[in-house]
Formats: sequence, structure tokens, C-alpha cells
Amino acid sequence: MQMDKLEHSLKTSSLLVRDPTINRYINGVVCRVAGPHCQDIRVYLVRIPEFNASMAPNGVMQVWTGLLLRAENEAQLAYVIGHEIGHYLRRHSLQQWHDVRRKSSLFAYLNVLTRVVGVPGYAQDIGQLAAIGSLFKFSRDAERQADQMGSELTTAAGYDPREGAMVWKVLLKERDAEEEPSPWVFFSTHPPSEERIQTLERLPAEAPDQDRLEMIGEESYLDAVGSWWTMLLRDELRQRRFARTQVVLDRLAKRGKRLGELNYFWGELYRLRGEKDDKRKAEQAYQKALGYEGAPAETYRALGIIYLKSSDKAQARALLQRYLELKPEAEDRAMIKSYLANEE
Amino acid sequence: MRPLIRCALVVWCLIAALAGCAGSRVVKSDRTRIGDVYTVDPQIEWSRFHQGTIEIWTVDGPSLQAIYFFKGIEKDEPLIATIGIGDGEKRPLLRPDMTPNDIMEFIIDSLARQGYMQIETQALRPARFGRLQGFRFDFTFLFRDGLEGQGLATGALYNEKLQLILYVGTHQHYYPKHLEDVERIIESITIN
Repeated sequence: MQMDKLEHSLKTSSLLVRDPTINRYINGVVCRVAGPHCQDIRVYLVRIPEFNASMAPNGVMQVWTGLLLRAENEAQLAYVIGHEIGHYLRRHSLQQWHDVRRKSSLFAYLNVLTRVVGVPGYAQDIGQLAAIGSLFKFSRDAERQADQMGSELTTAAGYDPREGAMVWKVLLKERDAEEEPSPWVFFSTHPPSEERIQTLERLPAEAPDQDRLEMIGEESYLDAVGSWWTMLLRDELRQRRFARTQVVLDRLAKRGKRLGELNYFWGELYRLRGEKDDKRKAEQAYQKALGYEGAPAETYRALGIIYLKSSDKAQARALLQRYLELKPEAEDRAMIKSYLANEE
Repeated sequence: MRPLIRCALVVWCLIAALAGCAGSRVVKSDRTRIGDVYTVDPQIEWSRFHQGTIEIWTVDGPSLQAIYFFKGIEKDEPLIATIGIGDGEKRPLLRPDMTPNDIMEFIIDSLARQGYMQIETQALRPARFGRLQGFRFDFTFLFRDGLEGQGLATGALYNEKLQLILYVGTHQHYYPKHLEDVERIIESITIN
């Protein structure tokens, strides 16, 4: 009953991503991995810029948007989903649930967890979503079993299981980049280790069927998630955890796609970080963005405002005018026009 | 303790906590001083709360609608201090060379960290703040429980401090209920 209440709160959460296209895609991957168990699973895509997925014993799966920004392809998304389904099928979450219920009432427990786990910069209810996920903090043995099952499920679904190890490598890199690591929700329930990565690299080689498809699905993933990049990157930047965002941007740039947009976000990162020399770095990144197709109109505004604060007023005027030409419906049009008028 | 840290987090939504932070009284319908910088005409009677350097006026309760007067945010200060979680993060801070675009981002990012979700800004524009040249913008957002909210922000830099007024409420009924009063309050600003 309490789980049903939690599912209801998830259903009505303002953070729920309701776009049917992206939900259809995520559900498709879940069903491909879950096979006959697909009908037991209800997937909720939640707009929180943290890497996380979790599964409750009643079949409720949460996928957070931070995972979509970090997975590089469909096989990596499938591995994370497969791992969580592994916990579910092995009844790990149910065992843990009974354990929690024995100890205390759910809501008292959640109240404590919300404070302990929390998501930096996010409100209490989001902390509570995180807390729901962290109810299911599994033993090392349970984690090994879920890794094994996740690997088997993704292999059976036709994905390249070696991508599972890549997920952990990438996450460790982000974590290690942060000077003061904040508590990662996913790490709190899924402790990362070199041993885990080695196991995931070894498991596929031990799998009996060598004629597997080994699909990576980079193109299909980009087709489904690419249109969400701008929102995902904005949400990520708003966290102001610049060191880890640099790792994210570096990885996205390696694909060699949408470089106008990515360089704009590099500029945004430097501008918001505001450390020594960041103003120059921001300017360079915006300039670089404008050298590629697809740089957002906001690049002209950002660069124009940098010049507005310097002595290069002519450049500022040209750039801000270009911004207004490209985005005549801009919500800050009146303000930009006032900057231009002041510089006449 | 820095001024903005004083219970600032709870100001935003928790009426119960407000009672613990400061006493309350009613703003009379006569000229009222806001900090050291300006006075306004309150138009109607409001319940008034003080919270460090923030002053809050409400009729139906701060969770339904409220005016927040930020009485001078200094450079390198956050709009609202957060406590505990996220110490490793870089909070949005007011910088001396900020343009109105930068200030809008500073405000919105700060509100987002207090649980205002899916904030969409509209119509950033120049606006008078008393005799000062300032800015104004409107915004919509969702409260934590999914309820639609609406807000406006207007302010100006004066002696390197940001004087800021936020009016926030539920989209249905409570925000529009006193919007005209708030507009008249803003029009009545007189810088000392």
C-alpha cells in the first residue's frame, strides 16, 4: 500500500517527463531487455540531472534524465536497465523492502534518508525520490548477481554487454574529477570499483553464445535522445558542478557531432564558473561555437554581453543585433534593445 | 552567521517555520520604509514578516502569495543561502558587473535550487525602480507538488547592492488576486 502511494506521488510529480516519444523509446529498451517480464514493469522518466535508475519491488522503475545525458549509446542504457531488472528478478529489492519494513515505518525512514542522500541543489521531494531508490542498497553479493544478470539480459536482448563496463568507467571519471565529491545517489546504492569493471569486462567473454548481435545502438540512441540534449545540458549546468560537467562535455564532443551547440555550452560553463581566465575561455568557446553550424542564437547574445562589458562596443552591437535577427521572438528582446540604445 | 543564512531556506514555503524566524505584524496602508533605500505605499493591509535582510508581505499566506523584498544583496552574496546539502557546489552569487540578463539568471538559478521547478522566464525588459533604471521580468514555474505558480521580479543595482522585489503566488486565484496592488506598490517606490 505504501509503495502504491509512492507510485501515485511519482505519477503526479511535476518532474515526470511525459513526452510520449522519449517514453516510448525508453519503454522499448526496457521491454527488449526485460523480455517476458516487460508487462510487470512500469517506467517513469524523471527530470533530475543525476545519473540514476532504480527499481522497486512493485515493478516501478525510475530512470532519471541525468542517465540519458551520460549513456553514450543504447547498449549502455540497456545495461543499467538490465542491472536494475536483475535486482528485481532476484527479489533483492523485496528482501531489502521487508528488512526496512521490519525496522521502521517507511515514511519515517524516508524522512531520514531524504536528509542523508538528497540531491545537491534540489528540493526535499526530489531528495525523497532519491531516498526511495536508496532504500535498495544491496549487498556486494547482490550487486554481483545483478551485474551478472544485467549482462546476461542485455546480451540476450542483442546488445553488446561490454558497454556495461564503459558505464562505470565514465561515472568514475566524473566522480574523480570533482574536488569535493557530492554524494551520488546511484553510487550510494551501487558502489563502483575496479573489481566491478573487470568483472563486467570478463562476463561477456564467458557467455556461451558467441553468435550474439552485439548491437551498440549509437545512432538509434542519438536519434531518440539528441533532441533532449539542450534541456539535459541546461539542467546539468544549473547544478554548477563544473568539474563533472566538463567530463560530460568532453565525452559528448568526442562524437564529433553538434559541435556548435557543445561549444556554446563550454562557453556557458566558463561564464558561470567565473574563475580566473574563465572570461577569456568563455569568449573563445563562444567564438568556436560560431564556427560550426547549429550554434544556438544565444551564442551571439552571450558573446555580445561579454563585449558589452569590455571596451569593444562595436562588436557587442553587431553580435546583439545578430541575436535579435536570429531570434526575433526572444523573451529578452526589449532588454537587448535597451543595451543597444545605450551604446548608440 | 551571514545575514542571508538566517533561516532563509524556510522563508520560501514553510509558514510554520516562518513563525519561528520572526514576528509578524500588519502593514498599515500608509507609506512604509523598506530597508534604508526606499519607501512604498502598501495599498492594502498585509501580514508582514521579517527574515534577516528579507521582508515578506502576504495576505493569504506565503505559500499562496507573497511579496519578497530583498533589502540589498551585496556582491558575492547568494540570493538565498542553502544549508547543508551541496556544500561542494558553486552557488549563484551576485557579481558587480552583472547585466540584467545575468541578474535574471542569478535569480532563476537561485529559485530553482529552492524547489521551484520548470521555471520559464518571460519578457525581460527595462523598468524603473523608483528613480533608478532597473529591470523586470515575469516567470512561471511549478511548485513542488505540481501546482502552477507565477511570479514577477523587479529590481535595480543601487550603491552596488541589488534591491529586488519578487512577487510569487499560485497561478490560479492567489497571484492575480493582488497583482494590481503589487503593480501599484512597485509604481510607488520612492528612493530615499
